[in-house]
Amino acid sequence: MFIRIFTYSLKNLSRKYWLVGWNFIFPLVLATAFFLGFGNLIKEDPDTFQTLEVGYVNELDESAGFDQVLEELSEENDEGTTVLNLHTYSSKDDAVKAMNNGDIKGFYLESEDGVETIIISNGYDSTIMNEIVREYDNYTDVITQIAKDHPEKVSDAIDAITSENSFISEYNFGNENSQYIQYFYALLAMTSLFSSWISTAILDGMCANMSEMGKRVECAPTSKFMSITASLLAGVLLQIVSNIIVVIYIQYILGINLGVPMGTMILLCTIGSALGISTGTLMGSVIRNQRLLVTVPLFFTMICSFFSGLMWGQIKQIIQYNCPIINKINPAALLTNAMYVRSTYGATAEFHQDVLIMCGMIVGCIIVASIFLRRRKYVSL
Amino acid sequence: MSVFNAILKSTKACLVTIIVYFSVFALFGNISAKATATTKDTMFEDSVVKVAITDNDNSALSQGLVDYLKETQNVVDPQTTSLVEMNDNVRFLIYDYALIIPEDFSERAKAGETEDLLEFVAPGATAPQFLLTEKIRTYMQDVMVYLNSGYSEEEAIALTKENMIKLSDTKATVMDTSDENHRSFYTGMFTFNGYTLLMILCISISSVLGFTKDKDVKNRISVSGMHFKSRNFATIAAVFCIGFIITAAVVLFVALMGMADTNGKLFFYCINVLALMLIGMGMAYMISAITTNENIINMITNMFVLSMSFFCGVFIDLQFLSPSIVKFAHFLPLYWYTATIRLINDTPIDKILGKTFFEYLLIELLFAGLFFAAGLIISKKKEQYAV
Repeated sequence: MFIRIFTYSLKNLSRKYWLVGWNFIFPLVLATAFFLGFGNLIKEDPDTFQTLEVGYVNELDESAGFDQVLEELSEENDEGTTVLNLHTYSSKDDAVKAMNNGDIKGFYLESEDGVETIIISNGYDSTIMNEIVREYDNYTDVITQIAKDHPEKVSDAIDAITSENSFISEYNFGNENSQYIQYFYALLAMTSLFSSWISTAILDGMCANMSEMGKRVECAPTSKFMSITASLLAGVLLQIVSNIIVVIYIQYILGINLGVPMGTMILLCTIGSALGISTGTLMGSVIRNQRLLVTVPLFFTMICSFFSGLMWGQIKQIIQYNCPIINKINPAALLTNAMYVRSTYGATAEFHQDVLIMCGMIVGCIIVASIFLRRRKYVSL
Repeated sequence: MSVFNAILKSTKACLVTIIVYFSVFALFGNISAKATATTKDTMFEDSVVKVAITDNDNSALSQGLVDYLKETQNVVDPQTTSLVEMNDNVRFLIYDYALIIPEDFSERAKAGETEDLLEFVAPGATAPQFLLTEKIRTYMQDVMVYLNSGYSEEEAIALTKENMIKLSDTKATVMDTSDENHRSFYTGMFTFNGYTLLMILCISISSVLGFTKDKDVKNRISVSGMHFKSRNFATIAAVFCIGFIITAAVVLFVALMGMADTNGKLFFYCINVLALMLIGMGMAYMISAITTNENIINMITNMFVLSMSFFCGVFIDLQFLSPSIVKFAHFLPLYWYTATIRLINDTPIDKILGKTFFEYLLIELLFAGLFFAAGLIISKKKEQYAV
């Protein structure tokens, strides 16, 4: 009987076209939209430092040494970065024209008054350009000061100031996934929570006060526990398939590396699906209104997804410092965080904690839902 | 009048959807418009980096570095001592840079060591990371040169600080000659409105039109004594009324929010929004011809409008999209809506009403007509084959 109910539930659910649309097609469409929108940003982060296209105009017969600084910065350094790509212009007007055409970000004008940086607008690029002039002036000031107080140390100071000292190094975590991958994790979390619709649809067909089918199920001589369990497991299976399709689509068709091993990803998708089904069961057991059975799971999913970073990547981390409990009770945030932690730091204690909380939530929702669902009596139908 | 009233009353069923999307527009539209609004630069301003400092050394040397950064950058609380959490914070842009000063920093610096005295966490090789690393390197270079040249620790710190303050007077000259590249608050708000207004119009109008296609309602209307022509006229008037009220509310909201940032171009944005309203109503009619199921209406609208918003420059600036996507976007109505917004933004107010502006509006109206025609064909075919 269990297998029969399980099979019929699978058939019943897969014939609800709106459910198939929301759970199978919508995530694929959204993943495609994300890929077309963020695909470029994942492959080539727009925040990455790019070589600056700058101009140089020398109004002097001979440069005071600034041209050498620019030439040095136009060569690749030890870290593999080329700071400047230098364009030389014969007059200020030519350089201004090139700047207004967008060929260069700005230019340096070396004249008898010194070196002037001319830019079109403020920003990091302009600040970096100006910083180069400051560093150039700074070296002169330091050497002048030392020549005044300790003239015997000038040559050592010149050597020291021109040597390449790193002083500072970057802490490396080993795995550098793009920060935009976060949106795909949030998408998978949203897909999982969409399964709450599956369970509300299942319960709609099992409650006598909700549908004609519900009346037939209620008076059938079959264990309610068994029929509900079989139907919910069919829903979980359907959702796992949906999640795996989305993961395969993102990873292999769109070619975006999610950074989580496939086995772990399937495990997380299974937990996510079960979480969506169990929260949906809880909603279905409490809500009696047909319209609310559609809108409540939709808003629940969208609100949870928003706070997990689906529309605004920063939000999860902001919540983490202002009200961390929200991240620990938001199923979408837990799932997103588990994927993020696994891909960035590996299977750490935080990852296991997230998985355990999700499992706890599944059990909790099922227990509360079963209290509401057991031994129901109807005054009239 | 009864059909007109009935349709307006049935809009109540979509009130929650309208409120939710309007709130999304009011909140996120505002945040994104304020964050992306730029004005013409007249004076040079240093870009500052949001840096979190963890000073484990607490020596005079480390304090000198912290003081220098406090004076020149935006120093914030790291909120944690864990490197992993700092990494999360820089990845999710809570701050741009986390600087860690180790316990033996001062000791090693005084011993003449120059390698890896300090550590930082940053989200990859970004421009802020490059800028701040260079600034710290220059500061450290100066301090070390002074220390090695016979100055005391206090003297080295004081001289370096003095140098840095003097150098902050070296400022670039800004030659901003064009009106382009400056994004007004209106532009930000109306761009985001492309997503929310289309969502509201498509869902509410197609749901309302769906109610009138309910078998019982349809039969009752059919047996009523009302003339076919006046019935249809009342339906069209009611739909226009709903569309106009929603659009007017959106425009009013933007006008109120942008009062401090007004640039006299609101009128042109309004014309563009009216064109978008017609596109939204055309799309809603087409969707209602496809299905009357509220779930499917929601799904189709979400898929279509959300995808269009990604391709047409609503959520992501067109410069970040690949050229092939931008070419494809030319076949979508929202692209022409955002193109008109860019045109209004980049053109001086007296030159907006030109050939290009009317061309863009015409394309938008053609799209609206296309959707409406598609809806008519679908309805007719469905009637013909009794689907």
